[in-house]
Amino acid sequence: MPTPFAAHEQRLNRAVLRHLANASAQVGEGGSFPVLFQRELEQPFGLAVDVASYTCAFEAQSAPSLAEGDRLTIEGVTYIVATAPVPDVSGWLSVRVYPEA
Amino acid sequence: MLALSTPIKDRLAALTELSGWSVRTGTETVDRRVFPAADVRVVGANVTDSKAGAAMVAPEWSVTLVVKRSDAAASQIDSAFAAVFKSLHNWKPGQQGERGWEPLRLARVQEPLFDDSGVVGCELIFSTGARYMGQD
Repeated sequence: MPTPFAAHEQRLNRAVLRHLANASAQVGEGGSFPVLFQRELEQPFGLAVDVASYTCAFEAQSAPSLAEGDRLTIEGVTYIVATAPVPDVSGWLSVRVYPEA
Repeated sequence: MLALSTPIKDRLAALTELSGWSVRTGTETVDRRVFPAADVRVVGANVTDSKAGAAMVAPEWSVTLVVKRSDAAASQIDSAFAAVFKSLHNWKPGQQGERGWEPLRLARVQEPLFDDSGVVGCELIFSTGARYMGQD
């Protein structure tokens, strides 16, 4: 059975990275790959605290064995993967990370 | 109702277990990105006895303890929790401002949350009360 939209999804993912990637990441000593890296203000405990919240999105095949708790180096800074890396059906993955230090 | 804000903050800031912490109130303009932190604020109030002429107002004081996630986070929170409880539970503020306040009592606890943004927070809520006078 033909699945034409699956091919579109793949092309869209590659196009997003090609045009919108704003950082590079690597896992351990592996090669670097492009990612969409975002930081925004979050207040996880109401008005008591302000924290910088980080999201990193990329093609899951760039880091196929990534797991929660792993270290991801983004632009030379080491982050901890805070959420389970579950990509969508197109293979696009978005994870929350926080600085290790 | 906020008369205990600074006395509670000062009491916690003097704790050895909170040495190096940013101890701050909800009414201050301060950088809230600094950790570890203890935040003190009123989170509500009950009126336990309202009669003609006076009412007993019982505010709830929240102490939110926040540290960065790490292997030491659980023990940091545990140590700070115990110290805050020991310092505030049954503490008698006495006369503060225009009225006398009942001893603080721990009312409930929000269990420690390990947030995805990289912080761990735990909230202790203490209750107290004081009589407010109205019109005769």
